[in-house]
Amino acid sequence: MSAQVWLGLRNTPPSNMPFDCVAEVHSSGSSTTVLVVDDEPLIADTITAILIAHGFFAEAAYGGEDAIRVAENLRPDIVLSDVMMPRMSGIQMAIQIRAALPDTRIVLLSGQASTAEMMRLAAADGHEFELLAKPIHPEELIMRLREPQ
Amino acid sequence: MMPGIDGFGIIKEIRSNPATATIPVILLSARAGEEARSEGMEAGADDYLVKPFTARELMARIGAHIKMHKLRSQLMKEEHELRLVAEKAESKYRMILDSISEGFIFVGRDWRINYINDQAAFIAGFQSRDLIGKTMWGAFPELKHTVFGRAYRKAIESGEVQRVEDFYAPINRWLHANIYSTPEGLSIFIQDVSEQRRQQEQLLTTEKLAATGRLAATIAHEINNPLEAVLNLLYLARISRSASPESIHQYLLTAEQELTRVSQIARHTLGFYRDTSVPLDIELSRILEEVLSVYRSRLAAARIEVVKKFDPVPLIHALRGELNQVFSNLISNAIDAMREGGRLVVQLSALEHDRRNGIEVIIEDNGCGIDSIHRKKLFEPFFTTKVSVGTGLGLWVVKQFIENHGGTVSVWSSVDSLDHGTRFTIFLPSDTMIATKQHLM
Repeated sequence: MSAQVWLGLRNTPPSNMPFDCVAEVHSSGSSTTVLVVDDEPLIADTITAILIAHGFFAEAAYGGEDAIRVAENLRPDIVLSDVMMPRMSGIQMAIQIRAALPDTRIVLLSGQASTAEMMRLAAADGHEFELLAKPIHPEELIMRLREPQ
Repeated sequence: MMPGIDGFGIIKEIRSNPATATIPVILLSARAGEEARSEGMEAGADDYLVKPFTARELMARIGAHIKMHKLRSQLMKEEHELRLVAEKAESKYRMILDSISEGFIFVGRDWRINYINDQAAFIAGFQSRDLIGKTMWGAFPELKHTVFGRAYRKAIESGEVQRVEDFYAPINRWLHANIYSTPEGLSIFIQDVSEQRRQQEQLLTTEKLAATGRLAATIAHEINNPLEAVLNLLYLARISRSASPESIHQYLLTAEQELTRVSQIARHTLGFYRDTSVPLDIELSRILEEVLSVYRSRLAAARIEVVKKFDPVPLIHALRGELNQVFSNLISNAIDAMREGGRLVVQLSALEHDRRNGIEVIIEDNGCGIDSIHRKKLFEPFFTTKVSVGTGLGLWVVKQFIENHGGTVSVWSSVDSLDHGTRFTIFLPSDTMIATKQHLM
């Protein structure tokens, strides 16, 4: 007999992830905090669940404007974000977060080849971000996030 | 009768020298009678007086002959001058026809080639002198099975100007002919347009490649996202050692649904560039549905409402790849015009237009609209208002492909703040005449 337990450190699990019960833990560890941003909830939520399973503290946002707001409160160590999003692109969001939180590491995740071009344009303006390609195996993602910048 | 040389001898001398040949000669002879007179006239005399004659008679005859001679000289001079004018005019026209860059052939109503300039002869691959006098059908036996041959006959029969542009297989070139009918025959102006055609084909290929690239980018997005989700879901199902069977089941079910979506997209988009060189009987509603399916995510992301109004319409004999690209270009443009949301209407109906039966396709958005200055140049190659994106060939290609099927495309647009939007109306005739395509590349 087994059950899946959510060990929430400051947040609640994404609603569609099938965890059997939720317990609160009152000590905050020194785990890395990640804000996961993607307009596809399935992607944002599965990445969040995977990060949590590997000991990260993770929260999901589903758009650029939301993410900026959450980031200001959460003050994450890493922002992991999709690039192609409606209304505000991941790069535009990243530029704003970098301005508000200069020490936050920003990793962009994209399924489009054209992203490399957009990154180059952003770099020309002095904005440097990391780029990973979708689809990415979860363990490779974890490895990259654990690597120093 | 004179010593030394007689009258007949003098006449002979006078007549043989061109300078004096026309001077009237009156023979004065003692020999009378019809026979003598006839002999004298046959020798070349203009008149014959029998001695004795009166001075008055002589003067009268001389006067008459001088008058006639003057008249004759005058007429000859006029005739000579007229001939010079005619020759000069003809030589001027020949010079003009020889100097124009178009080939020119003049054919009589008996189909004989009366005149052919060097350009035309060059195009035909003959010397002009070898063609003069031959009939068109004799000189160019393959002509009668071609569009050009039929156009020549039509011009003669109807008297109406014919304009034809097609690939003329016997010499492996694209030709453009303007054929004018006159009471005397046909004036045919011919140009070799193979080079223009080749450049046009090249532009179409460039745009096709660019469209493929854009499509690839759309596909990448459509496919990479579901694959990322599936990868994560299967991974979570695997590593959750303590997860309940229900939760694992949920992960796997979701993964399955995402893979189904991916395979649908792959099927539709790979179908895009199937063999496009053979016309098939096509259901237009299916092509429109496929294109809308490929753009589904982009439409949702831009929050565009899609309204489909598909009447039952007959199948149409057409090139699938070209129609796919037409609708893809138009829908992609509509999405670009409605970044902040809007409505896309796609309408399909059977219609009669200009006394031809066919199908009308309308693609309408309520986006920003196209202002009148840009609308004029909308279908020109390389015209674009998009900064650093695209080739500017998308709408030009739409026009080429639709006209290739014998159809028409038109645009209505408004930038008015209360009523903005753009509507493209395509008419495809049921009896599509797909222009001959030769692979010039």
